[in-house]
Amino acid sequence: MKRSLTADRIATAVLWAVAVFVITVLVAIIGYFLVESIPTFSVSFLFSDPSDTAIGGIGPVLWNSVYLLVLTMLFTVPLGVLGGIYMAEYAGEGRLTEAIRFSQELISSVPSIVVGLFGFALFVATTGWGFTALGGALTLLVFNLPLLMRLSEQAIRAVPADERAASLALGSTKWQTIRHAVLPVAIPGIVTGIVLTAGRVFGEAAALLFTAGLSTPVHYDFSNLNLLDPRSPWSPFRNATTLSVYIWKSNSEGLGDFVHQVANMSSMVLIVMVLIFNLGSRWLGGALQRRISGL
Amino acid sequence: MQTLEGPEPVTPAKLAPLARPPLEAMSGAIGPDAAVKLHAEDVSVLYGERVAVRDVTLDVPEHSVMAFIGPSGCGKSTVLRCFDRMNDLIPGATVRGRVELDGEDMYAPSVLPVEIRRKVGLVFQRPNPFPMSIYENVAYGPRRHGQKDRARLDEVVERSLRQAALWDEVKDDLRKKSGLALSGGQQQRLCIARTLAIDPEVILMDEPCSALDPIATLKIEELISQLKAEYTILIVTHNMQQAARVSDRTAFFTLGEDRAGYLVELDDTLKIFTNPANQLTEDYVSGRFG
Ligand SMILES: Nc1ncnc2c1ncn2[C@@H]1O[C@H](COP(=O)(O)OP(=O)(O)OP(=O)(O)O)[C@@H](O)[C@H]1O
Ligand SMILES: [Mg+2]
Repeated sequence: MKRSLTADRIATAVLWAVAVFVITVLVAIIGYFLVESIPTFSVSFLFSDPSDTAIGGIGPVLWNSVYLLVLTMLFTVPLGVLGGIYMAEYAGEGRLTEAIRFSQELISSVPSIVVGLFGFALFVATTGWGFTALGGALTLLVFNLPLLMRLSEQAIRAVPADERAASLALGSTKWQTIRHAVLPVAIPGIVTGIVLTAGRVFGEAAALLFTAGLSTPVHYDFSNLNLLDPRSPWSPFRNATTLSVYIWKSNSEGLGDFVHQVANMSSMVLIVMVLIFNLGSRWLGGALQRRISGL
Repeated sequence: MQTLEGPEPVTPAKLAPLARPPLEAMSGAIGPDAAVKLHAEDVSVLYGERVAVRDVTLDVPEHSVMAFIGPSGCGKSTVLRCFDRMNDLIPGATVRGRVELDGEDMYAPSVLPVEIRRKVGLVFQRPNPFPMSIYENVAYGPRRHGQKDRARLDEVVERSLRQAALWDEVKDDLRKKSGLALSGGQQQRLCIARTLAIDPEVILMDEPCSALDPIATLKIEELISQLKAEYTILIVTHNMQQAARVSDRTAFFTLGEDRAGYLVELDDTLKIFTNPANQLTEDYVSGRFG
């Protein structure tokens, strides 16, 4: 009795210590970038072009990050969620399932720079597109699809068997059961998976270096709606340096007098965006579930 | 343990007016001309290699209530699930023999389980409402069967909830309250309402009252007696008095030497409880079992 109480106290203390450590590290990171960037930060930094002022702005690269995120998720979400549904509900024990699982694990363990090289070979060289947002998005799809499939599958498998049985016993078909009984319960888990994936897309640099390109963008003209014009910011067939790639580039090239300020401020923007994502996902997950379950 | 004429421990005295008539007054017996709704012939169910129940042959007449009784693990739920093809969902489960609904083979290759389950509703042993509003829980079946008309749905939801004796308790927050926010007994009645809403021909109930208090239990028993006019009902119960009160016929299952369940005796309820043909039945209903 006494021993188990001691064990309980020790376990509690250790868990507290770990939690405090993790929070401290997080606060330290955010705090560092805040302190470093506040003196030079201004709202115009977010929206102006790199060539506008001495420090320059991140408007175009921030736009590219958002653009690439949306483009990638446009492919990843439907394929990932449908793939997860397939793996959880339809896949049997056969060869095909084993092959899919094997490739899922394989791709997850490959460094993203290697996926980037693969993307370069396929979407840049073979297709002859050059460095494009589309090539970047497809490369990101390659290594985010297995992740989202896995997370969706887990969310769907976590739905109690009772839920399915109840729906089937009421004379629903398998698809109706998935759509109306299983998915509403799995939605929060799936949305969490989507946001995790989105965070990876937003923060990814290595896989994009050789696919979406790393030239410093010039001024974007948003009134140019021609999707095939490589100068249009709406076109998927253009060079699209993202915020993460830009941070990497400005740090490694070390050009200009304000390199560190630019890198720090960009990093802060990145962190804040990721934070917004995570908080937004919780709200979205809850709202979706309420809507779908009719409450 | 049970003397049927004696006071029932589960029924408070003040509920007496609600109680069933004494056993002798029950008509029990079913005319020989009643149509056979469900028929099982030499049905055995295996889980993997293991035989769970073997060689069950029985008829359930239309518009009657049949009770399944027997010790835990003898295969009552397993046999029940044969009648709406829910065993199909269990990996490794095999159903052998012939099961008929209205004289048609339920397991014929051309028959879709979905068709069977629209005609045969199942109320599970554990209440399992969907994490949706009360309204959506009840409307779930009709919606999946293509009912879109709001007024019709409202009507079905109200009728089903009234039949399941839940309407008065939930009518004010039908759309606001989740089915999961109800008490265990209310959840079970919600599940019954949900099944009634698909307007089945047969209702299978697996210990529907095991989570209910005596008042709710009596309400469900009343409901069963009313439903009998339109539906055919199979009910699994561990409560002898309940079997005696609600059913016309009773099937007694037990475990054989080979650890497989089998049907020992099936007869009019009155006969099973007063003058069974088999000694095993006699021992079980009089509480001398095991
Ligand atoms: N899904 C399953 N997989 C494997 N074996 C099962 C499964 N369901 C039931 N069994 C086995 O089949 C036998 C009969 O089980 P069943 O649930 O039909 O009994 P029961 O009479 O309903 O018992 P209870 O009164 O406790 O509900 C048991 O030995 C049980 O272990
Ligand atoms: Mg059972």
